[in-house]
Amino acid sequence: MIQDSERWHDAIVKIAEIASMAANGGEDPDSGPYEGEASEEAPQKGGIVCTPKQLPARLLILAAETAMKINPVNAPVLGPFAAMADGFQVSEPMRIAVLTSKYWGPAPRKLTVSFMESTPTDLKNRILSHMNAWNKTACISFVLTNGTGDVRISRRSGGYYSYLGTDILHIPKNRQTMNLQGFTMSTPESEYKRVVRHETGHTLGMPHEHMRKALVNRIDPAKAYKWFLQTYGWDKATVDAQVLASLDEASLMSTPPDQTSIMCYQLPGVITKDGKPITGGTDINATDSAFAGKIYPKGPVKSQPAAADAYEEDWPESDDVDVSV
Amino acid sequence: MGRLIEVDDPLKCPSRLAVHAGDMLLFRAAGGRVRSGQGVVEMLGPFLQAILVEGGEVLTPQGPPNTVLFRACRPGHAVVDVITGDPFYQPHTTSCELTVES
Ligand SMILES: [Zn+2]
Repeated sequence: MIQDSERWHDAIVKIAEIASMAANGGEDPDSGPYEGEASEEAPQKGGIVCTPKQLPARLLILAAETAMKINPVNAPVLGPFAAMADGFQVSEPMRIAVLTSKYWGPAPRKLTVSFMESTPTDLKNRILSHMNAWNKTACISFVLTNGTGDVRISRRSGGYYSYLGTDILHIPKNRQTMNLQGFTMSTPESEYKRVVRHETGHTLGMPHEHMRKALVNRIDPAKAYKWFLQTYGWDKATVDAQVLASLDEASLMSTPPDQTSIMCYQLPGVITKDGKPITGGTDINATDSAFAGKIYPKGPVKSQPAAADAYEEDWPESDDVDVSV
Repeated sequence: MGRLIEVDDPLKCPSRLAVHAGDMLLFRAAGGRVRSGQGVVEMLGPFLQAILVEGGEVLTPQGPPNTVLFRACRPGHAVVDVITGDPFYQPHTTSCELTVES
């Protein structure tokens, strides 16, 4: 057990070193800051303090595989987070999850927001203020633009949804990345908190909390299939996808599930094994807020290009460092 | 020729609607069911709209289903229910009586 723990620690260090080298243009990690950290001594070109990079995708996969070999339970904290290993407490109790492949990165970032339909200014500002509720602790903020935003909101039919994290960068510009059907200035404040903040959580890369294994395990599949078919006409595949499929915990940056997270749906007691409902979240709770601040820390870091762009500066595969264990 | 009839806002759908056999009705809705007239009308879905992006990847948003299809199969009468809003929080059901003509 101790040996496993030591091997795990060694591998974390190795991965962090590689990530750090990537962030520092191949320099030794001890000689400079980790990715995204501002440094007075850092060379400056054209006013850009740092040029943060992320591991090429093939190394992220290798890093995750390496971690999985050593300790599958801890795999979720790796992936892109290897690059910020100094800032991460593996055992810290955090209760919502971020899919590592959709993560925006730890540096401050402004995401622009536009609306697909003509929208009154007061309504735009109200929606934006709720999106920025995450910004109280997280370093990502949302700003209105008159042009085409990174986040594009429609209020037309289609219900409530958002694409996940960096996926929004790949959505065609003439399509919305978030749908807030029917939101107006008459919509109750509680719905702004429950829906707008939830959908914004998706934009930040957070999946549904009720799809965490521990919460899915509370649901009785037979009851769920029956209830959703009778109530909504959902077939088994839809019920599976919406409430019974648990997320691959290895793809998450997370800890124990939290049924009061804003990212958790309400599910009725009629479908659970113990008859008790999964209460769901109605607003960003303290744990959501702390978690957002942890993965998107506010601090002395400079803004960086979008995560998808960060892969552009790759190096030859032959230069990869072998961290196999 | 069958028609694809889009009902963008089910709340504004008339309570009675005449269609032709072979037509397809598309509702932006989270769920639905054929309350009466099975065989006259059949439901397909529900579906969650997704999008094909550059590189051939299909991206799927996080959210409940948002599209339901009903196919008019043969002449007769049917009543369909369409569920809109958030299926996990106070959804709304709209009913529509369909007359399927040949
Ligand atoms: Zn959601």
